[in-house]
Amino acid sequence: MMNKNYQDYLMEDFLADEYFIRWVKSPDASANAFWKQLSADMPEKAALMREAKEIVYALSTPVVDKNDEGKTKVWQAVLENIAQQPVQRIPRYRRPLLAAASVLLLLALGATWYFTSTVTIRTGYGETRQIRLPDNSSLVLNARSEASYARSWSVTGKRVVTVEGEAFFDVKHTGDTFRVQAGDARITVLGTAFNVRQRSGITAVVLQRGRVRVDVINGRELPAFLLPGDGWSLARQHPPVVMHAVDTLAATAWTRHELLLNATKVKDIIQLLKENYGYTVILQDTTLGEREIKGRIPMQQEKDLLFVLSRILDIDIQQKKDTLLFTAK
Amino acid sequence: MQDKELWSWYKSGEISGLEGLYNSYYMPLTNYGFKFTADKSFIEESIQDLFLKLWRNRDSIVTPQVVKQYLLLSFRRILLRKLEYSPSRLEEAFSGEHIPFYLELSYEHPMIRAERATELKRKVDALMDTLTHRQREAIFLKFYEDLSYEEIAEILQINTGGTYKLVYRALERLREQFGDFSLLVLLYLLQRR
Repeated sequence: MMNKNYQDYLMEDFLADEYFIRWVKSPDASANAFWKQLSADMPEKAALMREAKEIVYALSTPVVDKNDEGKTKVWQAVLENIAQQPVQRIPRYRRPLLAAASVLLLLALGATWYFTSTVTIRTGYGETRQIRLPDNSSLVLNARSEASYARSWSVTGKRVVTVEGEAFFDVKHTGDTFRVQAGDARITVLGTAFNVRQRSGITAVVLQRGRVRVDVINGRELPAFLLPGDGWSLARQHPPVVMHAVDTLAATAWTRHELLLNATKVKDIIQLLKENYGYTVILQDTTLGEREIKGRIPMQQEKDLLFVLSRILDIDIQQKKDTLLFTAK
Repeated sequence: MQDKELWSWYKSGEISGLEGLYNSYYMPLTNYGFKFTADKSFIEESIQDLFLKLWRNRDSIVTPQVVKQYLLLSFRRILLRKLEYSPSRLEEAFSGEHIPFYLELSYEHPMIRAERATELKRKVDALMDTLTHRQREAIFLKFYEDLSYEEIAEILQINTGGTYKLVYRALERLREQFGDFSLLVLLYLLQRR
């Protein structure tokens, strides 16, 4: 680069110079120093260089916009094709007879149902359920949550589970990808235990062991690769955030029917009462919401939680149908 | 995530590696494809074929030096075959000029009135018309896709010196036609403000 005769450079020489282009598009310190020095040495070329720089920008502007609905569609088509085994082509002279064709049609209809329908598991308020998935992975579903997967899982081996609410996964390592979709997040797993929670517009993943990759569906962000103890969360209109050294015991405590509170605010517990048990809580004194609680609360039943709360906070809890009234004693 | 890592992940049979590559390259490939044809279905089919092929042949495909260039090259081959520009290699080596390639600058901007935009578009089209299809493609690969002259040479199936000359002549031509690129600079400024 250095021994070129820049004195004779015309516009097209700058534009065809790879070192120049790279400097404009992704400048680094040494290239910066080099081109700065050059325009200082040859002030008569400085204007030309400035113009050449603008042209590189103009020529580099992409035309197609970023949000393309074709992207997901084409990828789905690729996945579907991958799932099918390559089919041996049948020679023309052995075309199936009409009768055979109608049998095939019935089979096809059955197969279509089998391959397009899903198995869905739901939990109501205050209910948790443990489910064994077709690949022997286990899934614990928290209260008022839903998990679904393709009926054809055991045939296709496609391990994809969609979650609404909160679930804890312990994934069997088989070598095949295991995928969980929750809200706008897609988690790709290699033999792992992790918690996923998708409530009130926030999706959060906490990894207990193994390794997962989290993608924002239709997002432009790079995927996040989580290590044990890492947490990831995504709120609407915000970029995803990765946290380290998350308390995984607390995040998965619900699977052991307990609640681990580490300086947790009362208003967060109230949120939980709403999400998992469907209670609306009314506070007589709103400052109560800001008080913090530490400790482990058994949660075999919601009564346990309410009892412990009334003792710790020294309040009365009255229940009227789905509403809880917290009043000072 | 770097291309190389995604590639080795994909080579090891991990579909998320392939998906990572897909996510990084869907837009560049679509953008490239649109320069050959306005018909999006050809482009989407070709991308689908490309990634399916990558997956099916993952054991036999040799890891390329530059993943991007490999994907652009393979995609171009698939797309051109679909568009039925698949002449014998010998013929292509001579010119390749029968393969249409349309390069447009993006000139749309809320500050430009519609009739002004039409006028600019006419000028830019005329400007781009003075280039050959091959020159346009070389310019595209150079400036949009940041490929080196060696990498472009392999895609266009000509030698490196020839590629450099192709790009250089194109730029020279643009300057001669529109004295010192004032139009391009104008476009650039209108675009950015």
